Amino acid sequence: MAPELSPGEALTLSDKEKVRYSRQIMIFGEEGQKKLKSSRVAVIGVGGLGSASSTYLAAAGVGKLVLVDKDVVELDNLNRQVLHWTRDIGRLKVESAAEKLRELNPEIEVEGIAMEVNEDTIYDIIKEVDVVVDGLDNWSTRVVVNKACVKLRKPFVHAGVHGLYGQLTVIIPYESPCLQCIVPLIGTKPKSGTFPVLGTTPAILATIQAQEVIKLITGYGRPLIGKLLIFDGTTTTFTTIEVRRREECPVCGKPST
Amino acid sequence: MVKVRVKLFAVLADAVGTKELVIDLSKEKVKVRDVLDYIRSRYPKFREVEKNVPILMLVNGINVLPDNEVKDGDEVSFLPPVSGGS
Repeated sequence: MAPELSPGEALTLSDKEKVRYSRQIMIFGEEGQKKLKSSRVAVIGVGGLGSASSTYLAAAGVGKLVLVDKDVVELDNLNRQVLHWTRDIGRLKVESAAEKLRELNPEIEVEGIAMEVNEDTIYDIIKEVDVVVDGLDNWSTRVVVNKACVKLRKPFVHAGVHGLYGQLTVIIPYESPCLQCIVPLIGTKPKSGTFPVLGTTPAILATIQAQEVIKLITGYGRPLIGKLLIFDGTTTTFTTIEVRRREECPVCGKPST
Repeated sequence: MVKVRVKLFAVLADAVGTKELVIDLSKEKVKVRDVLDYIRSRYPKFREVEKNVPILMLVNGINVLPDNEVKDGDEVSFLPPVSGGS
């Protein structure tokens, strides 16, 4: 069951927008498209995951995308971070990404914020959006974002990748398990350094993330809530397992009121 | 005697060389931690991999903590949620 999101008032769609989005309006109607148009989504990290998720969210007509990343584009990013091109090396990732996304879809607003994600900075971003998309590359920052999403009751669409492996889940605070329910020992491990990754792995996971965001906003389908999707690209296998909230979870385990 | 089926995913399966193990633990009361220790003691690669990934532990499909009890016939799964993304 998709949660009730509260995007802004219903907007109208221009004739151009009706054409641009016509193939997906066939799925969830103009009402669904208006919900997308009035929604605001934050993509935290515009690397391998964030490049793909933000591209599909922009193309689908999410009204406002907020991109957050402090890094600049480097040569060894280019096997997977497909929003950043060779000419962008040395540029801020949020600038490089925002430029392409605006060109892809001038109907939407794209804001790029170059800043480090931590407890002091992330709350102001998350409180202004309807859904948060995980494009991060380490557990310690995910723990911070997970906690902020729980405290501010914002859906958090998590994914992580390594090599040809990945996992994904949709977190609805106080309804479904948060990241810390699922992996209680995260946060105790050191920040991961350089990791192996094939460009297709984050693309596969991130396009599913974008799809889950679109489902959450439009109310179409059943998002992956309370379930963890495990992807094994070496055998091309998707496994879905049920995961439950933990009463003793330090982040979401206490009563919500 | 507690006999459990262990399912391993992704890099944890790579480390052990199989996706499934059946193990016998000759103890009255067995915890998830004991199952982990059994695997660690026999598969040094598992220990190596574990240094870099947190482990999601499930008993009969329910996410649990290392101190959770495991009963005869239970299915215990270990998954390594991965952390990359950039």
